[in-house]
Amino acid sequence: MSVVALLGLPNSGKSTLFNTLTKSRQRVANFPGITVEKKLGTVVVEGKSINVVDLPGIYTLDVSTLDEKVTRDYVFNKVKGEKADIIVLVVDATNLKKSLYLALQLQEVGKKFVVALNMMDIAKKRGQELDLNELSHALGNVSIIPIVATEGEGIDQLLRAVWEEKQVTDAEVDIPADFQKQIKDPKYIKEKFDNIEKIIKDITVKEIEMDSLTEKVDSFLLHPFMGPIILIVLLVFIFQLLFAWSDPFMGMIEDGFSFLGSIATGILPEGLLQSLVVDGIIAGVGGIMVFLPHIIFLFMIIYFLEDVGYLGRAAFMLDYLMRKLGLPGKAVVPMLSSHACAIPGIMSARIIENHHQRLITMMVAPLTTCSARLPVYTLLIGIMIPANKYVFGFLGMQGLVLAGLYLFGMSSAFIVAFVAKKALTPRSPSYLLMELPPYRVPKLWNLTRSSLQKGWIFVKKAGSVILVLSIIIWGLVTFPKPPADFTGSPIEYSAAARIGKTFQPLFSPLGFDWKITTALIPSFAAREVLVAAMGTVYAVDGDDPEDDGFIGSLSKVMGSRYTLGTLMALLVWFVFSPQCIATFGVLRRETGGYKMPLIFGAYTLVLAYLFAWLANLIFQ
Amino acid sequence: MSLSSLEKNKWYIIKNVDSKDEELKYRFFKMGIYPGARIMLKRKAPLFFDPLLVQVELSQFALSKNEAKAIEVGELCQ
Repeated sequence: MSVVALLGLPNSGKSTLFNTLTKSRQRVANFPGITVEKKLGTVVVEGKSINVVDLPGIYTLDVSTLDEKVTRDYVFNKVKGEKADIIVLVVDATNLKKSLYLALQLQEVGKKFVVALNMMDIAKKRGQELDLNELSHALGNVSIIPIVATEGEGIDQLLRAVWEEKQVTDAEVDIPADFQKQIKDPKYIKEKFDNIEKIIKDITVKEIEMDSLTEKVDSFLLHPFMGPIILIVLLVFIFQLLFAWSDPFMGMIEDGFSFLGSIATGILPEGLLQSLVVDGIIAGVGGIMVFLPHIIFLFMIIYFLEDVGYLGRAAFMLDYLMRKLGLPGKAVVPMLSSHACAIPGIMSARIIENHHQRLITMMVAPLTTCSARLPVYTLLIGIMIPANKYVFGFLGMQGLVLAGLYLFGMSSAFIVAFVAKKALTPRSPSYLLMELPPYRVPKLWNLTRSSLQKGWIFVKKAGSVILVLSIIIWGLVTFPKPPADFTGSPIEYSAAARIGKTFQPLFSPLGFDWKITTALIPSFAAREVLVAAMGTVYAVDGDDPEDDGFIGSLSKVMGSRYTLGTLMALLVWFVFSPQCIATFGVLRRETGGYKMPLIFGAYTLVLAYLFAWLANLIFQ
Repeated sequence: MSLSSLEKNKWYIIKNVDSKDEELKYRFFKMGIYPGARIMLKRKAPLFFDPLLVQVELSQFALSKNEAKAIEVGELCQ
């Protein structure tokens, strides 16, 4: 099938054109071997299906970053198994000049292309008049089709031009060896930019007026005093919204899967198969699906802010502060959303353009306190600190400790990021040079579709790893089955308990007994499982009418068995401990291999051990 | 003249772009920040007055003061 590749600068409206062309006939894949996303779709022209590829935005064909390299390689047919028959260069008509460098480069290397001159409506409104014949002439007589991608205007003409151009076979051109040299040659640069100035002069009938809307909105949203206040209110509001929107859906998903589980329990005979289906597979799949509301809603918010033009401005305001802490301004999104859940947090790190910074952000974001750790913190704090203990007579001690844990998680993330930055990129100073797009009205349907795609990618690409790991954990706590005359809790006989007992001596400096080390194994599936697992190893059922429920009786048991040192060590362990399997699954998918998840597991394990040991030492 | 000392909302011209960091220098060029282009300081970031928001021709950029040092600016002769 023929392939049309969409090429263009960032913010040229490339993705909008892609969405307009392909509607819902699209899917997302990764380019082979790398973690750059490839958006694929189909469009029907003259009764024939044509593939459309949306390439990552680039400014010029000589490239420096990974994303840019993919685009360059694609244009020159250097991506294995991929070949573009024709290139559509998407150009922002309101800022023609900045696209000309890329257009001239395409012409220079002899690539065949069609220009889609986008945002013609805004350009006209701002009074611009261009001589398109002259422009076509300057670019080697290419077809130039004025379009409005958001409204679908000019799309038929564009497709016709693509169709005609496709009939002409393209000469194979190779990547010029002197690309990098060219841009380093001051004479070449001067010539190029002089040429661009000349073209602009020749084709401009009437110059475009300044963008007064962006100016007005900026004077409000970037106001020295109001700007930061609006930003903080917005961030707080967004993450409240994230919780509020996701909660009912998460509840529905959890209920749905426990309903499925109860049906399966009814149908299947009691035994191993039932346990595998109910506790292994259904619980495992449910454990994956439960992340979907968070992922989808977070991306809807991010795409909205990005499309409307605010995300870059938020990064502009936060950059100084975040950079002092070792991360770029845009990292505020993954860092904050990881407080809800690390999964969407890690996925959202894609908004960071710099590869190193993105990687560091993904590796530290899970140190922030995700909501799944709350039940563990609540249980342990409840055991150690009486509810009626106050500081200064009105500040609840329990609440203070919880707040301290949030702060501890957040600051640990920043410290690790800072150290990692110094260690990994000591010489390359991370700089901020980012284009801020004009404000635009986002297309709600497009951003909803992209968010749903994100959710689907998670299920498909991270889900399989997560499911396999949850079934392994199920196997560890289930096998081997205790003999009929075994008096303890069944988990005591399982492989998990054997592993827990084997490794317990390693953990005795932290004050952990085998019951804790055993309960840590299932908690690898999800943080909050620790509470249930501790209940299982102590065979607490909460049915005793004299006790105050499950948590109450578990607190009593744990409070009487463990010293303050042990409990504090366990608390601190959960600040750092290697995160849940879903985090590993999503890290593998987002970093494109097992290396980063393994490094992540190793460093969090070391930190958890170290700090838990210290806590035990101090509070003993 | 350095970028951060410019009068706001007034057009200047870029005289030179130079940096020890070659990669940064070419990045400026690629994004259309090159000698001869018109430049305007729009605003500074709230709180720390860093980074700067500048307009180069029709595009707006956020760039930190440290990187802004690479750009030498002169009066625009009308």
